[in-house]
Amino acid sequence: MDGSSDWRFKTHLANLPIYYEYKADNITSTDAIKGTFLDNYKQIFDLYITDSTCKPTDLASKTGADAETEFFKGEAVFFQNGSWEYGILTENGMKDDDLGMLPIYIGAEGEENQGLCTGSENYWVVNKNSSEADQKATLDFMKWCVSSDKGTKAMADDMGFVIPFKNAKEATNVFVKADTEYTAAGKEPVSWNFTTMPSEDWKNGVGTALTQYAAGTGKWDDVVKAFVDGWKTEYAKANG
Amino acid sequence: MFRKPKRKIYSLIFVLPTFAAFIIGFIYPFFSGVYLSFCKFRTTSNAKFIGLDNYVKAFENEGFLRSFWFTALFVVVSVVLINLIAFFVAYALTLGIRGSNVFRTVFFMPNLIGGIILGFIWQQIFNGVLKHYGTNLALNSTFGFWGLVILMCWQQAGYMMIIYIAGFQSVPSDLYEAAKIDGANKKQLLKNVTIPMMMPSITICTFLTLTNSFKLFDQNLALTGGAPGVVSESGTMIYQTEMMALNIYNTFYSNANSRGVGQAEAVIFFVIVVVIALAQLAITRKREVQQ
Repeated sequence: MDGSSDWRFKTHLANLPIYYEYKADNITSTDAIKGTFLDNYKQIFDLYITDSTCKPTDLASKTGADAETEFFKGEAVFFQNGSWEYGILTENGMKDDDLGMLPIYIGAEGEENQGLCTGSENYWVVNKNSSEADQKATLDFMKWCVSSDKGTKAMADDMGFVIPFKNAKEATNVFVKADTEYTAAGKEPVSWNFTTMPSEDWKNGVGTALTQYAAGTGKWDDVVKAFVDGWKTEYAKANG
Repeated sequence: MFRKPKRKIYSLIFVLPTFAAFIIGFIYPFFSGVYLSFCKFRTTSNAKFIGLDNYVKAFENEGFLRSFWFTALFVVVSVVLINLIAFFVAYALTLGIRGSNVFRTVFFMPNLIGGIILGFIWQQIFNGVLKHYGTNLALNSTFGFWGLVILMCWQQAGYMMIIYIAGFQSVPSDLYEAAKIDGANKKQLLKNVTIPMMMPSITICTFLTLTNSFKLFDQNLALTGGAPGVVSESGTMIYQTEMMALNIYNTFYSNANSRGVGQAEAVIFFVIVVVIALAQLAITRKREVQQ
């Protein structure tokens, strides 16, 4: 699991124990994660690497492209990824009917009401140090992207985004539609809490520990240590 | 009397474009880099001076210290191996065997491929073999280390070979003749004639391999990416095959608050490379003989 693959587990999958811990403690960020739900994290990860397309020891050298290929070739049934994969999968011959999306259940209480994971870790920003004319032009461009015909078409069709504004073009992406259905059915989407992860270093540490745990050269305790102790250290570094 | 100063002015004008490029491409970035190592910053245009704080943090960075020793070990092993291989291949190819030119070209070619591509190609090769033993470059730091050494030998030996071949050819044949008449055997010829006469080539080759190995980045990033790692007491991952350049890069980019620390590490790294390279030049130059 190199960088092209392990982001799915060190970021997106790792978000689930974080999401449930924040929810239980009623917080939206923390300087020290407790790891209350790390056993659940272990269970879902164990499930992922059992009966997978390859032996857990081979995972270390597998890439994101490998996982993608195995999925659209029909060698794998499950593939943890996001709505942004839609374009690649359909380009490689998958039809809308072939595709669907499931919530990631980790055995936490109340998860029968859990929907899909949605959110954003990136923002559109305006540089306060730039000239006033540039600031205005940036804002106008943003508005154009989410309100004009041409802008929303590019955002929805070509880039596959959801645009939560009036008059915007509806997405054709089947995964985005699935999310709308889940929400309409009263399921609660899992929020992305990536921005509260202390740093890229933290994610890389967890990813490396996961890879070594899967291969059997590392212990789960190391994943916990990288997750919990690493969070504290990296948080202090990032905010010091 | 009036000609000389005029010429000087002309030469200055001709030097100017290169000099300007040197200032823009080297002098300015170098000094602004040194300045930034004393600053806290996220973007270079918005830096705040904080003194030696970054240097303190750099020396407290476990991964950085570890990467220094890993790099040092790698440099010793690869400098010795690359030069030995290059020297003997060059020796074999100056004996006048058939197809020498083809061999020279073939041995030189790996040097024309970029480091990242080489790293990925060799990663495939090594992992293909290691797969049969249920392991992987990313799981075993010993394999990672020797993988890097093999890769570097394969890439650099050909280049050094060319320099050594030129060295071999520049040794005047009358010296060999004279030595043979005095009754020198092959071993003595090599030790007392060839090697002393080739010291300039040896100086250049050790300098190049030493600095190249110390500053290695692309191959390290592509081949192992630093993996595997060991979790330290503080929960930070300490990467086992991470060389100094890669560690600096990771420090700089993996925590938005550590840009200055990465910059300080880069300055320390620069000083180390300069000191070692100058020491090596001084030592090998002393052994060079005048023809």
